[in-house]
Amino acid sequence: MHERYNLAVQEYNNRVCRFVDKLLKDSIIAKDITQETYLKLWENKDKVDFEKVRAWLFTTAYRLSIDHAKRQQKYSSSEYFPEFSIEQENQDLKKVVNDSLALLSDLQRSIVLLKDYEGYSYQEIGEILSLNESQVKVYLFRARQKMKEYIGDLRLVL
Amino acid sequence: MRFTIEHIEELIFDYHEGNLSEAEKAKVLNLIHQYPEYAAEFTLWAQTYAHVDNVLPDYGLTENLIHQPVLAVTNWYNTTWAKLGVLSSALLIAVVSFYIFGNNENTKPTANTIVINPVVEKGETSAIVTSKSNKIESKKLVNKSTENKIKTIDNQIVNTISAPLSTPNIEQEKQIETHHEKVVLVPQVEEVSKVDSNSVSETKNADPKAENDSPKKNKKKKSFNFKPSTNFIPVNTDF
Repeated sequence: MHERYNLAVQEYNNRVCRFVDKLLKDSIIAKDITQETYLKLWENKDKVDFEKVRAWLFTTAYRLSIDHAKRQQKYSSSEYFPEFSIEQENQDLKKVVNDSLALLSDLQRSIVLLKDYEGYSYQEIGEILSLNESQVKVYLFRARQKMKEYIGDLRLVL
Repeated sequence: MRFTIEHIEELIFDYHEGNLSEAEKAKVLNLIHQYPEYAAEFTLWAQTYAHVDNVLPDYGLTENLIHQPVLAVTNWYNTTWAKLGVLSSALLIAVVSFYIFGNNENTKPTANTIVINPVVEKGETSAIVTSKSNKIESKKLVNKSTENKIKTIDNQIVNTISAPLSTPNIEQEKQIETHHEKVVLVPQVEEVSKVDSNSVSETKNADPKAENDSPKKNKKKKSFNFKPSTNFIPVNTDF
């Protein structure tokens, strides 16, 4: 059992941390949530199917992140607007796109991250986030639309 | 799926998501070629994937999260060496305890036991009394009584033998044989015990001359109490 747990640590701990970091935009909180996620895994090591431990880790990390975000009330699609600046003329596209993630809801952001960083299919994302495949596709479509509009608007300003 | 301009955004989304086949991708590209104003839209959709980092960062949590088994403590007792150690220690304890308690039992003095070893040599008998309290006394008494008995019998034999032996007297020989047989008799336990209790009277009957010789001693013997004393502790611990 130790071996399986340690294997899960070595393979997925940085991925989980990156997912939470990009979800919450806070690396320190991301580390705490990652440690808490693995603590829960250790406590439930007898119950967890280690063949599907990756999905279990992301599911747990997502729920802990959402709980944290609700407590902090940091990100809201209606309240948060990324700041435009003419001085950001030579802005890196990657950074711009990363900033556009802040416009998304927690659920949309999670779907985008799981799709783009982890390569999960619609069905797998649905299992992690408790959604069906069509719902995942719709949420992802709307998320990309928002990101596209933000990037387009920024280019217009620049 | 309809490949029309009304569904161009959905087609471009599916194109970039990888949901279309090669043929369908070609149709989408043809449609954008027909409508160049959607080329910018096609590019913007592609840029929404630009945030992806191919390099996985290291957050430094691996060492803190890994659980190292503590020598498999919960299962150490399942190892063969542990089992052998337990068995050997149990055997050692059993042997030591047996040695200690077993030897103590052997050294404890037993109850009063009397072992009689008849020794058929020259008509002598001996009795070994191994009682705790009065070993020495009983031995002496027994020896004295038996010795006196033997002496008296021998005197009788002498008297019979002193008779003229001109003619073989079968009857005399038989008497001698019988006397010898009597001499060889094994004294019983009861006789020894009687010796312990009534040794004074027997010594009187066996040897009347001794009484005449030492009346004082007899008086002293009368005072002897040959009953075992509960408070008696032999000086010589070898008994």
